[in-house]
Amino acid sequence: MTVTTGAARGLEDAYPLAALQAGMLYHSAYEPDAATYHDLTTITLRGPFDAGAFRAALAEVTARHPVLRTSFDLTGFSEPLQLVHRAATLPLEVTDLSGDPEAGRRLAAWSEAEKRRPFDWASPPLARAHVHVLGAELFAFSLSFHHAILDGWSVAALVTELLRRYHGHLTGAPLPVAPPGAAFRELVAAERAAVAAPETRAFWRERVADAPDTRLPRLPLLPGPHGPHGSQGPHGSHGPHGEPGAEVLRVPLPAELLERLGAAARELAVPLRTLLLAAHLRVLALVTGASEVMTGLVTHSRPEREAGEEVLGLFLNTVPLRLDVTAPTWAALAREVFEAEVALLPHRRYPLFEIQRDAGRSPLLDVLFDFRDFHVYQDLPGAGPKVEPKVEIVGQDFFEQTDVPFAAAFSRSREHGGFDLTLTYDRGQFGAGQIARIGEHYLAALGQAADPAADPRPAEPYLDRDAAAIDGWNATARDWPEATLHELIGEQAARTPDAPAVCYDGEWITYRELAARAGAVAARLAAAGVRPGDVVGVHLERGPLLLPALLGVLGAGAAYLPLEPGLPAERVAYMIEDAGARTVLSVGAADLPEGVALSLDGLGEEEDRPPVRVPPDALAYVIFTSGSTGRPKGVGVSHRAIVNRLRWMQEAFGLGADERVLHKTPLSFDVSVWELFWPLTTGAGLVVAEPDAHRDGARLAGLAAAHGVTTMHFVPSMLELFLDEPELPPLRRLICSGEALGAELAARCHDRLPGTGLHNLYGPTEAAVDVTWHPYEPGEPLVPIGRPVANTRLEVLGPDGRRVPVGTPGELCLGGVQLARGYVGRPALTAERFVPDPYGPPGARLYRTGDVARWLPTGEVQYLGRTDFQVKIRGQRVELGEIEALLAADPAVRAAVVVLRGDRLVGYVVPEGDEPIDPAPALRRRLPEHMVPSAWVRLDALPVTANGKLDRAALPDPGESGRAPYLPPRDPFEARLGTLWEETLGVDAIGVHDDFFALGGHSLLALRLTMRLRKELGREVPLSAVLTAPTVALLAAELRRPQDNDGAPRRIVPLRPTGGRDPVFLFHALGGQVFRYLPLTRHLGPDQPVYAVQAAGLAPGERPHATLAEMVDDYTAHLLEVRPHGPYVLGGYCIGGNIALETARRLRELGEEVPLVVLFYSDAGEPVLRASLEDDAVLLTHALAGGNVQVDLDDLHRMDPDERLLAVIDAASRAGTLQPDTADLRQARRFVEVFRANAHAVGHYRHAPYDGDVLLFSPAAEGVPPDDMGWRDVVTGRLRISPIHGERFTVMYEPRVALAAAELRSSIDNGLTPHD
Amino acid sequence: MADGTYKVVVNDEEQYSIWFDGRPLPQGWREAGFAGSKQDCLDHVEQVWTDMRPRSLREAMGQ
Repeated sequence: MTVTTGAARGLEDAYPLAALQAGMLYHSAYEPDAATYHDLTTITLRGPFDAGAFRAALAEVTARHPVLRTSFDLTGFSEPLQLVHRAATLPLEVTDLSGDPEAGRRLAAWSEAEKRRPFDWASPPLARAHVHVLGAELFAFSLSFHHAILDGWSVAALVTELLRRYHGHLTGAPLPVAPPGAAFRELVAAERAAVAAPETRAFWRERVADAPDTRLPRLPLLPGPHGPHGSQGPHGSHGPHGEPGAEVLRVPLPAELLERLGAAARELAVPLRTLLLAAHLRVLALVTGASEVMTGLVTHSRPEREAGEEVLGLFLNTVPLRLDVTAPTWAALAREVFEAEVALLPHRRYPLFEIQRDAGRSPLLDVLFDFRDFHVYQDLPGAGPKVEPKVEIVGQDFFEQTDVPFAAAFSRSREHGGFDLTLTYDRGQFGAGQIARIGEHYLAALGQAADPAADPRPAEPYLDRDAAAIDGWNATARDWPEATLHELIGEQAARTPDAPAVCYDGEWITYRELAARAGAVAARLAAAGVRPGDVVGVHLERGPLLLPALLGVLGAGAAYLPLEPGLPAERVAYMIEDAGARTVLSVGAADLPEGVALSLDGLGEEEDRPPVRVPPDALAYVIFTSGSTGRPKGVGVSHRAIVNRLRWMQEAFGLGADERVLHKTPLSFDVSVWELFWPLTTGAGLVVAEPDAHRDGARLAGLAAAHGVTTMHFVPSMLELFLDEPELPPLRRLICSGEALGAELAARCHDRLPGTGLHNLYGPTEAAVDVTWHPYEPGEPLVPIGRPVANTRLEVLGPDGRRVPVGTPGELCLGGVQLARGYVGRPALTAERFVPDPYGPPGARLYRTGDVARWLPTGEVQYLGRTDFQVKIRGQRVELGEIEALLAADPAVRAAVVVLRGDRLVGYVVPEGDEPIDPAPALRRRLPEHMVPSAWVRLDALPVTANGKLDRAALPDPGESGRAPYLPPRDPFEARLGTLWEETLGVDAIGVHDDFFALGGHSLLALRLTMRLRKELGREVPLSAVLTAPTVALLAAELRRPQDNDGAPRRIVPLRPTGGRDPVFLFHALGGQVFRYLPLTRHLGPDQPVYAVQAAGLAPGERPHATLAEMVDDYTAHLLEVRPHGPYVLGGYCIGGNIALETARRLRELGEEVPLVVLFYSDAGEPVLRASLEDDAVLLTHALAGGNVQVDLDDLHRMDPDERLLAVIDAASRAGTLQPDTADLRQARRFVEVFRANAHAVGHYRHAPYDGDVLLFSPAAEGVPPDDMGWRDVVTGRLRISPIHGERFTVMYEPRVALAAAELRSSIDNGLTPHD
Repeated sequence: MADGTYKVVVNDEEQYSIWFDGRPLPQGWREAGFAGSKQDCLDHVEQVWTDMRPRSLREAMGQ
């Protein structure tokens, strides 16, 4: 082996890469075709072009600067190295375009191509020169290079030196070539020292800990130049985004502005750069909506001496600078910025790569600030004393592509000596319009910064255009006459008294009947002392009395308070008390506090009741929502507010009198308000779903189809399930609200219901149901919540209560007619959430939603998340704080946190003592079901961050704790159910006794599970089955119970109906069931179809087969139905094998091909244990306990059959050996019947000789050849016997079944091989 | 609303709220004569805002 020395390779130096170089090289290696880090600068020069002189100047420059003779070797050494070669030639090409009218275009085309011509890193230099001669005294010099060898300063220095040397050659006075007094390798050494310095590492760690993201807002991709609604916002010029790639916007800075900034900087005794950086940070705070921001700061690490100015290399680094920009004056802000800059100076060589790695965040920076003052240009020949011939720069183009999405660079202009701002951005992420707007913000910020005494915090100076746009979008005024909700319905009843109004359970009542019943309720309330302004509870299920009750309450001048009968009594009592309700309407015996119940039993009709006058600002309803302090709060909504909401809805959708709206939303969810009353104000019909139907997609679809429903509401998570229904009703419109509507779901909805309009609505209970609307348009990549509805204003405010720019996230605040009056009996809470509206009409209030949202340039609003710990569970608002407060009130609990994981609540509890605690029952007494955590984790202490705050991210996954001891599935059916559970819940290794709801299941997931069961098992599984049988074991037992309405059971069960191979048919054994074949099916592979044949007699009313011949007749007929022609592979376990062999014989007689019969522990000599056939008591023990049970046969013999059955079941269950198919007596009896019939049908059978191929799995002790089980006397074709080690049935189960499956598959493919 | 000093304000409908101390009041609101921390202001509102019906409604209902 020979070693090539550096000298032998013509090298003069070799040293490691700087971190930034390595990053750039790796980055361009990833994207070899992209122009990333391939820079190109083109300078147009006035003066003569002399190729010889130019080449000589280039050669001198190359000789002087090692980086121009450097190549890279990333893999050949123990670490990547840069190799400095003794000699290298910087290639120069010359193209003469003089006189070419297309010269400009050609040069541009060349540039585009050149950017994409890669460099060979192994051969120096990583640079090329090209001169395009444009005329006698005009030429363009282009230098293209990999950014890893040169930074911007170096390019300026190189160009300056090159032109000075060229000038020297032209004038016959070449400059001396002396090596520069500094070298790039010094930077590499300094960087290594920084990485090794613990104080520098600690400095950056501390700086970036918990640092803000400071990501510029990305506006959604717009389908057209102005968005789907053709409306232009302040970013009207903002077009569709392009492919990724760098785009540059130049923002010239007026000389007068720069002068003022310079003066201000001098006054403050800070560099101009500091003031520019302060303005940059202010703009970042403005567009991100955060007061603390972090930017990348491009730093230069040139050697700190004179020679450092002319040395070439990549002396750049980028470091994070983080600052809170809420200083009260620009002077104070500038000083803070300067201090931050000074603090990082000693640490600036620490590579960004290392900072990111320490922070565990990459990319750490979204924006860069770069200040470029390349005063080396001052040495250009044109700038100094004029020596003819003159060469001067007349234009410069610089192309530089980096991987930072947005960079603001202030560069010294060579032309005017001042500074220009260039914004470089990725056009794949930002539109030109958005960047232009940001450019305006920079100008505004710089203008502000020039006055050091000014307050930098107000956003108003930046937002003139945004404010005008927002005011335009909020111009939603409509002049509608005043009315109350029940007046509107009363007027409608007067217009169309005989029209159908409300349908429940197939029975319609007319508008007249409805009004009369409501009148009777109102009369009963008045008689009970209810007066206008009161609150009346309504404790009713959905039913025929619901609408009369609600309208009766309104007719009595009161507001209704929904109290769902399913809620805990304690919570109902609290709500009644808190809302000040003295009367509660109910039917029958309701669990209500003393003395409030007013029964509706025996309600009649009362027409022509004189109306009670109700002012429109009186409350129409009070709906409670979750409260963060542990107490739910009642939101009082006026008639004026809800009437506006309904009138808007009618204006927007124009519900026709022939239309039907389905009411299915629980009354405590305010969506129910429009469901109930919108149709009744327009003459349409209301179809009321029965209680609990709202969770059952099939019921809803059926109901809608049966009654011609045209409008339904769904929370998106319920819509997801509804769309799974095979038959969907032809709705006119679907209204979605309550949760964010994803574009994917919306697209799926459109696919399934192309003729149905899909509408996304948004609003909290505090603003009369909904305040925004967006009609979905197919293909939209994002579904916003839309525009304000009538008489409604939206504001997006920052933490300081001021408007943020369009596109910037902030808290969504609502104003207008629909605002609730407030929280009933909670003045302080109301004052905190309903605040003065600084942008609205005088005296108006804004409701602060706590939702994070932003304006889109189209004038629509996009929902982004929450500011707090409110979550949505199936559309219902839940304040985690409410649950936590109740937990913390438990004396056994020291501390508690509740979080939403996926779509389930997890409670983390630190107990006070060592005793195990179960906080769930106490919560259930006070909270609705959806607010009780479904998983619990006990902790010794809550995890906290370095600052002592709760570290939510460190809370452990509940999957690992709080579970019952794992008990694996005991049979294939349980295993199959377990798999479905695991997939539905997203939890691994579910034991058969683990509770579905304890594992995080909730009713929605239960519904999902039943739908999957329906798909997998091919039969209806009611939701109640999962609710009443919440463990795998219970559900398995429940599902095994024959369904009386199941109809005829299928003889042939497709275990895997798909796959390209010839199917395998497996026959049932004694018990008749076929689930035992599932593991084998799984291991046979996805391309192997498997069908199982189950016994007759399992279903009620069905008779088992009495003989094997009967079985063969029946099974052959079914089999031919599934597959009319062979080849067939048949097999079975125990007597299933005997049946398979005889069926094979029959098929062959019919002329079909049966290449293989596989027998698992089947016996030719004694198909069924003889003792079982002779003694029914023995048969019982075998049927029910697999023979593993200790019973006295003599005792059994003395019993009658039912007693005997019970005795064996009892003994077997005590011994833990009871067969899983025998969960109850009725089923056990049927099972034993089938078992007995099968045993007698096959037990006495003797097979005739069979000349086909047979594979037998037979038990064998280690080292002993397996028994032939009598088959040698039967099989005259090929017989292969494969041993089963261990218990006989293990051949069908994990792990042995895998081997059996492999052998079966191989035997099907290759035919039988000789005996083992 | 961020931390800091607030004042209690009230509008023509005699609805109470809080506002940033030192910032001009939005039109249609007047000071209710109390300033302090956010919580102190809210506690004050809890004391003084005894009838949460808007003034015009109270008048319409003849009280």
